[in-house]
Amino acid sequence: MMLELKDASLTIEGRELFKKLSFMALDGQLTCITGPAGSGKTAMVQVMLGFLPLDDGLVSIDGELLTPRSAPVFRRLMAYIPQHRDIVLEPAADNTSGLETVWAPYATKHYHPTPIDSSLNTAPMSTKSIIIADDPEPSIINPLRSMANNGHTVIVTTQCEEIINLSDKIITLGNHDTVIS
Amino acid sequence: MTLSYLNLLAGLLLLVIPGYLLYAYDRLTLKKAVIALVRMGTQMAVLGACLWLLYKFDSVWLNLLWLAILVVAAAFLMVSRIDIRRVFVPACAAMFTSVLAVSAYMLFVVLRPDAPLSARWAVPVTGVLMAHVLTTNIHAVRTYFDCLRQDSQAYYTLLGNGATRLQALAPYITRAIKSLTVPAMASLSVMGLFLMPMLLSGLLIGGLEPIAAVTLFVLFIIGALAASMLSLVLTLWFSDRQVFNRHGQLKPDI
Repeated sequence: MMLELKDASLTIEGRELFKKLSFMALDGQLTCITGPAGSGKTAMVQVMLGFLPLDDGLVSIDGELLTPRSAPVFRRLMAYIPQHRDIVLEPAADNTSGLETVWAPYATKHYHPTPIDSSLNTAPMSTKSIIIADDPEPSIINPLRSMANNGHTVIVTTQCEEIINLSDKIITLGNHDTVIS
Repeated sequence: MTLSYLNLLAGLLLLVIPGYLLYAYDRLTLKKAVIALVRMGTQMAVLGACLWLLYKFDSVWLNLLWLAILVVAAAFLMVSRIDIRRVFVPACAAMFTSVLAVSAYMLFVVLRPDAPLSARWAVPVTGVLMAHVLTTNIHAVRTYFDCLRQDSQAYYTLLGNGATRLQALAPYITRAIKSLTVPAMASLSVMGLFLMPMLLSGLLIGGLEPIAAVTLFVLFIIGALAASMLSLVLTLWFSDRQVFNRHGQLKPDI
């Protein structure tokens, strides 16, 4: 699946994060969004997930616009690995990351998708077409790279050189200029 | 039963015991206790006057107005405790709906007195339910919003992985329901063994036979629990649009 941003502009609390930004994240590719802290990487993830509206421009998935109404449908096709995985809603019984402790009681009862567990098992993500990882640990980049090789659309935000070097496309945010390479 | 002024005076005489002990050992608390007593006396005088009017006119509309006043006061108290003004109208609607629905069920289906809408029946039933709804819902609604504010990552993670809004909010709803039921269950489990509930005492003083009083008391407790749960769920449901924007994000002032 192709995720596209076209002429996207976003300003948060008076700070312009990006302006007239256009790029396409294609299936079979690992797209990396990088930039210094506070440059808008996590905001970009929120935009792609449909949590944050753009000031201008559009987000589309396979040509279909991402809107408040369509976002929940598109999110069913996505796996999202959040930046902070130390979720404390339910205390972890063991030394796991905490994410799966939130999932566990609801996974069977309500729904199934688990993005990734502490043992780096990406199998639950294989049914998802688009994988979005916000500042993942370098240790999970190889499974994510494999998923891209297998035809998934993988988008990561990071400052880690190791991850950047493995990417097919790099979008650099910050310093008022957006560089796409 | 009527209470003469002499009887009242004899009752008030009991204040000598706590009054003397506080005077002797803790004068600072004595002052606070006197203020609290005066405040309680004033509130009870107003409540007594309101109930007297309700019983005198015995009107369904007046009973509904009384419930509405109680609900607004309760919602005001709740909003001041949880510090989210946006919840005021949803809380009013939820408490009014749940107390009215459960009261109607208890009056028309369970208790079935001769005149279910009379002040004699409607006012105490709605009053008991309202008191329970208020005390339990403040804590539960606060738990829900505290969890959402402090730990919204779980919500966004679930949502970002394809969960519906209800599925993503399920952990928080579970927390809120737990915070409502666990204390209620704890107090229920010791009730009767170590303490005689005020409501049960009231029913016995009112002249009911012990078996009937206990049965009625248990029904009231069940009704109160049902009304509390219903009110909590409705408050969360009705407040959804006030608390989240159309993109599913928590509004910044929450």
